Amino acid sequence: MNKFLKQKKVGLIIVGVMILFVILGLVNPYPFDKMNNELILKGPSFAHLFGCDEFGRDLLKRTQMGMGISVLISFFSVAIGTIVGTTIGALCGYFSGILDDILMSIIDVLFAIPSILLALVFVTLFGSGTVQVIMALGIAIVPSFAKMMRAEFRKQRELEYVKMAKLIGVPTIRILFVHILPNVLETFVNCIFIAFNNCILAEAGLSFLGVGVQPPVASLGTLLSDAGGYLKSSAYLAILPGISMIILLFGIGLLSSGESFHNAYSKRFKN
Amino acid sequence: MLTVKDLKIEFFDHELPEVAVEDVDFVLEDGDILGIVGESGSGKSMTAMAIAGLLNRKDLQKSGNIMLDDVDLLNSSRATLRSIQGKEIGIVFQDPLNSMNPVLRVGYQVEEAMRIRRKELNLCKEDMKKAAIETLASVGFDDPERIYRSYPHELSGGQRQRAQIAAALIMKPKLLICDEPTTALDVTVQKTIIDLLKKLNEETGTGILFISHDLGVVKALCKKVIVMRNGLVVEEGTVDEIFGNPKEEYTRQLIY
Repeated sequence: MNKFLKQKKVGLIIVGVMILFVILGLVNPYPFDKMNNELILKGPSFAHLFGCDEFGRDLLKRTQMGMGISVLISFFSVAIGTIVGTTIGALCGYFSGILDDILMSIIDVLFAIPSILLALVFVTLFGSGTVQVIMALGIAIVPSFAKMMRAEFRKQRELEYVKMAKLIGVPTIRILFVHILPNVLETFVNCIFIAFNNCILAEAGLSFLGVGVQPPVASLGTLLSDAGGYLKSSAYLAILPGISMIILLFGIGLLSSGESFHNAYSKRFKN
Repeated sequence: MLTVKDLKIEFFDHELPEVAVEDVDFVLEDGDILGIVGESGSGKSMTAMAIAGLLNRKDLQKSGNIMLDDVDLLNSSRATLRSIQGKEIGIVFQDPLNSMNPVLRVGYQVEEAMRIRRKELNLCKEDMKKAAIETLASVGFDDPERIYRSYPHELSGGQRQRAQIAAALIMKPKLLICDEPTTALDVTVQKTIIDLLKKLNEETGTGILFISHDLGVVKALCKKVIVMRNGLVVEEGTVDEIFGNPKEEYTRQLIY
């Protein structure tokens, strides 16, 4: 049991360090879009810790900024996905019947489409850009969120405290979000972390394909796709941003492991 | 105060309807304690749920009347029900562990019936807290402040049951429905709960509908008793009549 707590702690530390990394980017003196002919493809040095890219831009600044943008996009996507997904899941789980059937059929159809493909279709329809990517990823998150929440709400619905709440005349919305939601918090929080992880990856994927944020603004995906042409001569262009992304994903992944949160939660209750 | 007439509840799970409760008639006067006894599946809990207005499911059909003063609980709209539930009727369930929300503090849950009517009643936070603590004290807690701040799992079974009774009583309802409130408790705790219900009944004049399969408990608490079997009322009368001179064979079997 203790192992899980440690795992969560490590996750927190890693995520904290990555947040610090992004915040430090704000005080990084080099501009992210200033080209410099003398520094083209210069390797890592003390002046430029991550080296410089094919236009002589400081890669450290671009990585920090790119990660910030990736996280920001993921944050908004997850927010959209969470709100819509939880609402749908809560309604479906709590009221079964025709509403459940209809909404779940739609969700099942959404499930059948890979999220990157869905996002690509969305971007094709509405053009590429940050807002479109946020919307597309948000929609892609909804199905899994709705499914998880539906299962949890269905489980809770049968318990007597819900009956009790109904009996004292608590409005249904309040039962759903004030009485039941805190009880499924464990799944809820884990869902958020997992969705966040997937979102960062998917956003990187989309940017890699060139439909995400537009240059000169960078995100983790564009950094990797730009580095693709220089893998042989200047591998650090791909490796350094890549490693930063992996560390971030690893940290969030550690946070999202179910047992750890449950453990922390029950610990609090014991004392 | 509470009049149940020709109550009939049928299930439509399978092709043929299944009768859960049929021909149930009884009257509960103001401030009375009425016991319903019967074996498992005799329809006693169903009757209680119908009175509490918890039976709006599509797979069952209800007929008859349940009158609480002048409102027909069985056939009224959801909005009317909602205004009555919690305010005029309180309910206490069997399993005190499941019937309280595990992640909300006891005080919060006791206040809940009041909190959702906060605007109509024009109450501030302190008023609610004061009322909750008073109610907690009235159900026999020596340190209501501490109970107010605890989570349900920090209380014992008997304490939890009392906290639940407090939650049901905060709006000072006319009717308290107890659906096997003592079944999950041991004998000594059972006694404290029964004494508490008796005391509350005397002090506040709350009518109590007490459902149990435990005849000893019913004998100790109730004035009138209804015996149910297979959804039908087998016998009804005062406690002395039923226990002293049971007319039906089934009642006799239950007693001995």
